[in-house]
Amino acid sequence: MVTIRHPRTALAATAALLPVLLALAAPLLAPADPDTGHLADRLLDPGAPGHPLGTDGQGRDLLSRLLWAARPSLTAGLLPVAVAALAGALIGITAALTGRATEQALLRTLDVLYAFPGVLLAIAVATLLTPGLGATVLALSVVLTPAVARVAFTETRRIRTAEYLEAATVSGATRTTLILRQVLPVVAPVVLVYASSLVGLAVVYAAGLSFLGLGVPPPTPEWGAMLDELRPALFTHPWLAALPALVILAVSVAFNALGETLRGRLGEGTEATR
Amino acid sequence: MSLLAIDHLTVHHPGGTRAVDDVSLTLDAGRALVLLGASGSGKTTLARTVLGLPGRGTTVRGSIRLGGTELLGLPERALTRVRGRRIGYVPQDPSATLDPLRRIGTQLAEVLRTHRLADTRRAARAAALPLLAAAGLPDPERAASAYPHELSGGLRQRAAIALAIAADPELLIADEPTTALDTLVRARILDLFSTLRTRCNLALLLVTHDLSAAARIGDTVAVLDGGRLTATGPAEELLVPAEEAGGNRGSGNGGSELLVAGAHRDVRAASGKEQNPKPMARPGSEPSAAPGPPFPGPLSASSSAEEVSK
Amino acid sequence: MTRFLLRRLLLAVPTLLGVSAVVFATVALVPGDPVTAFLGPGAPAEARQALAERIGLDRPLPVRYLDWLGHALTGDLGTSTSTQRPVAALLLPALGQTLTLTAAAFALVLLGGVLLGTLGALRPHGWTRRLSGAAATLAVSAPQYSVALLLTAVLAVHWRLLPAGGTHDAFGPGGTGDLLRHLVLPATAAALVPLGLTAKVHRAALSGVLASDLADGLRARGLGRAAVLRHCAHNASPALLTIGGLQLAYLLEGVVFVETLYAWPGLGRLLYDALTARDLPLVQGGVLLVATAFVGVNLLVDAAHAAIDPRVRS
Repeated sequence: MVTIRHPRTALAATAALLPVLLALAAPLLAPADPDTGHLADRLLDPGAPGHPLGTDGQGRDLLSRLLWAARPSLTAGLLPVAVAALAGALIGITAALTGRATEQALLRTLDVLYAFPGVLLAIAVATLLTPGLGATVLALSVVLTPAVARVAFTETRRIRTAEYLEAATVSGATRTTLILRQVLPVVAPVVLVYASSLVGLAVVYAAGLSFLGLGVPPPTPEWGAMLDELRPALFTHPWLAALPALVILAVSVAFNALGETLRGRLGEGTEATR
Repeated sequence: MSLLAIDHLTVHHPGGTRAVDDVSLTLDAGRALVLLGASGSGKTTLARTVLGLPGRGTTVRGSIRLGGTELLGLPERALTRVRGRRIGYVPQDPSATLDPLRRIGTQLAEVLRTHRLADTRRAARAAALPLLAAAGLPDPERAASAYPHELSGGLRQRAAIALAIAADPELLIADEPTTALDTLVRARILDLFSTLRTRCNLALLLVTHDLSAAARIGDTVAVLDGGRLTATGPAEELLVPAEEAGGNRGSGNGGSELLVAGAHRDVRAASGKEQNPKPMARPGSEPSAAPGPPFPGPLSASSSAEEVSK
Repeated sequence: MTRFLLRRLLLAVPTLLGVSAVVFATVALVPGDPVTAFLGPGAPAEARQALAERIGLDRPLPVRYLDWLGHALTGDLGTSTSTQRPVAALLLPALGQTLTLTAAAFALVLLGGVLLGTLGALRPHGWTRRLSGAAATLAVSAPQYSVALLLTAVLAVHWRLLPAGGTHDAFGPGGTGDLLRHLVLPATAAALVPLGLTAKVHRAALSGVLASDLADGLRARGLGRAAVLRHCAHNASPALLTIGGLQLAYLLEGVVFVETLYAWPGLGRLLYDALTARDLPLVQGGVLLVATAFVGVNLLVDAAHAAIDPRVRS
């Protein structure tokens, strides 16, 4: 049995893992078909017999929809972060290790992307494409990559001046082996930890795009889209309408807490080695 | 009775390391005590503990009495009436301790008003100018309206000294006040301390690793090593030129090397690389490195061209 | 000081030019044909040609850019293809609405962020620090739409304390009180994320200053807790300014969800509608306006920086 050395990280990791597990287990856990409902059962409040979390405007079981919705919603949160981590690390490391011209060109491009308002940029990219999961993932990848690239760039620059890297350059290591053996082991954890702190944001943005109608098309359940579907019921059944909002908030808090504890531990680690 | 009486003082840092270990010292009014030691010897912790600022998480045992008042265990409110008012503090690096966003005059006025030595802002501003002059700033008006970054290192340290003596304290604690300065300015600042001491009947606690500074200032020298007091005594006895102690120690320094006679150890070796390489002199003798009179008569005469910025 | 600001103002000109070029090029190169969008896919070729000529789509890109820029400088941003109204006439009232909402939200951000950050910085190991940290994390994680829906469900629908939507302009029959009542919910929903970020940054900056030699030097002068805190907060304010500027910029463009949920006719909502309608002139004008506001906010931050720190001025 592994002893838990960092209870707070373990707690945050469990909280972040829970929605992922629920999404995977949706077919087993969901009490009903998420896409069909009986109009006679429409807008039942939470606690109704057979519908623990109530039903939506078309009588569909909300618990089942929320569970199934976790799949596209979490995919749209996790996948862009993975893409951004890879692309950002590649761009950042390249920019930091190549000559001044490439470096400047990459940095200026990042600056322009950075200067554009994030939400609007995501909306703009998403409107250009056919609405759907792919469009959301692509839009968020574009928005998140510059930030990751910046982190990778700064970190690579920091160790480029470190003595061991200069020693490796002097000893004639080729660039590829240099990157693989010296840079990646140092930069990768930093990028991964930073990326982990972006998941919460990505989930929020993804649901936001769906809420605006730019995400997964209906009737597929998705948290942001459910938010929009239940909005008309706000005045008659406020608790139903608040349900998806609460789920997104909880997932976002869990991922942000995880990212924060990981960042805190990385900070301790670097402090200890200095 | 001594002005400052430190009795069996022990200070533990949060990790459990003993920064100051069972130290007892006394300092009489108007006298000077030099705390000599290498970096990490606990001398700065000792000085800051006297101020009631030993650092977060430290545990302090023993006793520190100032004019009969026990300082240890005083509530923070009472301490604010001791700090500045009864004990002035000159920091090692004035550029880190002067507020960079306020003019020197404003900061002085704030201290005067905090200790109720001036009622109005106007009165405080007026009172600030003579203080700056006393600290040897050549142009008090200009210094008062300057921001810290607009002054040279020497002038900035003089401004810090003006702040330390603003509320007319009985004791002045100077923590390595000259390490950030170049040699010439260093000598002048040390002389200013001596002048202030005699002029204002200030007791001086000088913390330093610099033997020449110790020799220039001290009546009494206390040597700290690893938090423990290894020697105390009159400067003339403790700091002895090498030839007087009998024998060249092989430093090739022409016999000007100083020994801590009482401890039978070479303080220069203990204090490591920070050691100032210039030749040293016993107090009272003409300092070879600093041109000009060692103890200038008029208070304002001690600044010179190299200290004036721009 | 004046020279410093003038130089900053001059430096903003090339930035704005660059931004305008990028805005124009991006929007112009976007796939999706405004002619088709306007006339529909089945329109005859002559009608398409006529429209393309009328809105100048047949000329080369640089010419179109210079032409657009020249007009933009005189306040003429073209005609919206989806509404047939001048772009400027659509943007200005929306900007006013967004500024109202942003100002209210920004006041909350500064007030809450500074309070929460200070609370966390005062005692480095106390429960107040944990409380402040947890509150900041919660705020940072709170999406606008979630907060908006939850607040509306509880405060507007369940307890009927506040209106659930609309702006009810301040100059209408309700007056300023009515406007404020309408502002509470959207401003809170918009403010939480930037408030959390501001609190975190301010806490870090203030903790740093409070643990520095500066703070000890001030204590050694005999200054009391309040005076030391005042000096330290002053010295921590550049970080607050920088993050505050970023958050103000974020609010200017990022309140699209709040505007949608509360039917607040602001800039974010207008731009979103323009994007979905592929109303290129409106998108160009709107993004240019937002980008100019960004540059303006940066100028303000620089000016405030210089006002606070004499080292920046010299």
